[in-house]
Amino acid sequence: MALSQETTKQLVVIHGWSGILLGILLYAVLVTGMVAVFSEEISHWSAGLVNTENPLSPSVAADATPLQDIVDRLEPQVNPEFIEEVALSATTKGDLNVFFHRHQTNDEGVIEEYGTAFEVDMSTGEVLEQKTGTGLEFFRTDEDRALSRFLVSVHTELHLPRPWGLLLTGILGLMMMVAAVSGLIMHRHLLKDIFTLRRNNPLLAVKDTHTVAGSWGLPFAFVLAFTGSFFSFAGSVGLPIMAMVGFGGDQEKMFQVMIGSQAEENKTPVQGPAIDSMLRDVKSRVGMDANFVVIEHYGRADASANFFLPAPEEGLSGDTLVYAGATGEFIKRKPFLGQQPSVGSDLFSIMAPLHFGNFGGLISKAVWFALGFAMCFVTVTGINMWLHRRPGGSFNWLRIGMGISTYGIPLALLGSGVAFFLTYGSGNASFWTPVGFLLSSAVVLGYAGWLRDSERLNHHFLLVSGVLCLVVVLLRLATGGPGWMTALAAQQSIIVTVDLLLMLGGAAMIYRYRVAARNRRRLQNIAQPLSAG
Amino acid sequence: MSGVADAVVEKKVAIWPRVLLAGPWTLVAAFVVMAGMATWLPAGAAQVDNLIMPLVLFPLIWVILFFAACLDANLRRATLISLGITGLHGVLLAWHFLNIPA
Repeated sequence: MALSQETTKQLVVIHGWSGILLGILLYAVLVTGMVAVFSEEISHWSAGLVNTENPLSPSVAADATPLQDIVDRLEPQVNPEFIEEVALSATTKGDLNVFFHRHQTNDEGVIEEYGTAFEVDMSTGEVLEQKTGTGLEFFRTDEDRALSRFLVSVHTELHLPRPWGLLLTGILGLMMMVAAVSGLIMHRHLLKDIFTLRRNNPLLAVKDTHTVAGSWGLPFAFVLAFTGSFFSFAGSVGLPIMAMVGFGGDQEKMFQVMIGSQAEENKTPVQGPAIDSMLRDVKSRVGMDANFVVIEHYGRADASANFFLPAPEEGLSGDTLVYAGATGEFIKRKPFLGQQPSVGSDLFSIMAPLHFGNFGGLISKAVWFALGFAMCFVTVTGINMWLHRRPGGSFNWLRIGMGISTYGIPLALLGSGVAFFLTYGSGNASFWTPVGFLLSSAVVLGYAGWLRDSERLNHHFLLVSGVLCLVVVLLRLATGGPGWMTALAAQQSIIVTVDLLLMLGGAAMIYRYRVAARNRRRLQNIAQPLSAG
Repeated sequence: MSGVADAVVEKKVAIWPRVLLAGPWTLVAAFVVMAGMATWLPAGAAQVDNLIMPLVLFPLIWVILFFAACLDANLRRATLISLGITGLHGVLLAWHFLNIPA
C-alpha cells in the first residue's frame, strides 16, 4: 500500500525529530552499548584475571575443599538473621562467593538482599574477604569490574541515579524504535535504496551510506531499541506496577511466585545433604555446570536448592534445576519464571540474549558489536544530514555538541580506562574510573571551546584517542597485568585479543590522523599562493 | 501576506495538542494499558503470563499509540481512541483494585 504524500512528509519529520531530540545521549548510549557487549571480557582483560575457573564445577570442587565444608565452617560466623537464604557464585577472579542473606525492603520500596558475604580461595579454603551489606553494594564496589561496570552503567542509565537514568534510557530506546519504524515505512524504494551508493557527490554519498547502513541494520535497531526500553522501564517502573496489580504491591511475594520454589512452609531445623552431591547430580543430568546456586530457607525442612544453568549452545536462555534442600531429591527442571513452561517466561528469557548478543559466544558478540557500530554511524550521519538541511544559528548548539561528541565521547571513555589502570592497584578504581571519564570530558569540552574549529578538533581527538588506545595497553602491562605468554598459558586469550584490537584500533586512528593532516597541509599550500595572488 | 503568516501561526498552534498527545500522554497511556492488560490477559498454567506479557510488550504498546497519535489526520479521532483505550484499562484497574479481598 502506497503512503500518501502527506503521511510520508509526516514520517520524515517524525524520523528526523526522533533522532534529534535526544541524539547526543542516544549516541552515548549506543557507543557504550557497543563496548558493553564485551563487558565480561573487559572485566577479565582489565583486571588481568588468569584464573577464572568456575568454583561451582564439581571437577574444581573435587580437587579443592568441599563446598559444603566451607559453608558449614562459615555459617556460625554469621548473624542468624542472615541465614534465610544462601547464594553461591563465582567472583570475577574465579574465587567462591558465599552470601548469607535475608530479604528486606529499602527506603525506596525496593526489595534487596542484605547479609554477610565471604570470598573464599577454593584451592586453600582460606577466607580472602568478609563483608556485610547489600548485594547491590557488593556489586558496586567490586574493583575487578570497575571499568566494565562503569561502561555498562553509562549504557544502561547514563551513570545517573535510579530511577532517572533508567527512565531516560528507556525514553531513548522508544525514540530509537520510532526512528527505526518510521525509517522503514517512509522508504518508497527500500529494496533499491539498500543497494545504492553514489560516491561522485559527497552529500549524496553521506545520505546513501546512512540509508544503506540504516536499512541493513533496521531489524537489529528495532530489536535493540525494543529490548533496551523493556529493560529500562521494567527495572524502573514496570515491575513495581505489576507487583501492585498482581500482588497488592508486595514485591517479595511477586518474586516468590515468579522465581521462588514455592515449597510448603516447614521451619523444622534439618541438616541437609552436601551441596557438592547435588552439583554432581546437576552435571550428570544436563552435562553442564551451574553458574549460580541459591538455597532458600537454608537449614530447614522446607529448604529448596536452585541451581541456575547458563544458556545451552542450542538455546537462548538457561533453566533452573530444583532440589529438595533437606533430602537432596531432584524435584524438577523449571523455566526462569514460574513453575512450568510458559509463553511469558520464554519471552522474558530471550530479551537479554537479544539485547546483549551473548547467545553464540564471541561470534554473536562480534556481530552485535559491528551492528552497534553501524547504529552509531547511522545516528551521527542522520543528525548531520538533518543539520545540513537547516543552516543558520537555530541549531548551532546541536551542531557544536555533535561535533564534540562524535569523537569526544570515545576519547573520554578511553580516559576512564586510563584512570582505571592508574588506580586499580591501590583499590580505588571504583571511584576514579567515572572521575577519569568526567575529567576527560572536561578536557574535551575545554579544548573544543579553545580551538573552535570542528574539523581540526575531530582530527586532534582522533590522534589523542589513537594514542590513548596504545597507552591503556602499556598501562595494563606496566601496572602488573599479566603478559601475553602468561595469559596464553592460562588459556585467557581474551587478554591478548583485547590488547591487539586496541593496538590495531589505535594505529588505524593515528594513521587516519596523519592522512587528514597531510591533506590539510596540501590544501593550505594550494590556498596560500592563491590568496597571495 | 498576512494570510500566509496567519496560516503559519495556525499550523504552529495546531501542532502542540498533537505533540502533547503523542508525547507525555502516550507514555502515561501506555503504562495504564500495560497495567490494565494484567487484569484481562490469561495467567496461563505458570500463573505469570498476565504479568510478564504486558511488561514485555510495553514498548510495542507505546509505539502503536505513538504512531496512531502522530499519523491520524483527524486529531480529535486520535485523541478519542487513545482516551478510550486508556479509560477502558483504567476502569478495569479500578474494578480490579476495588474487588481485591481485604
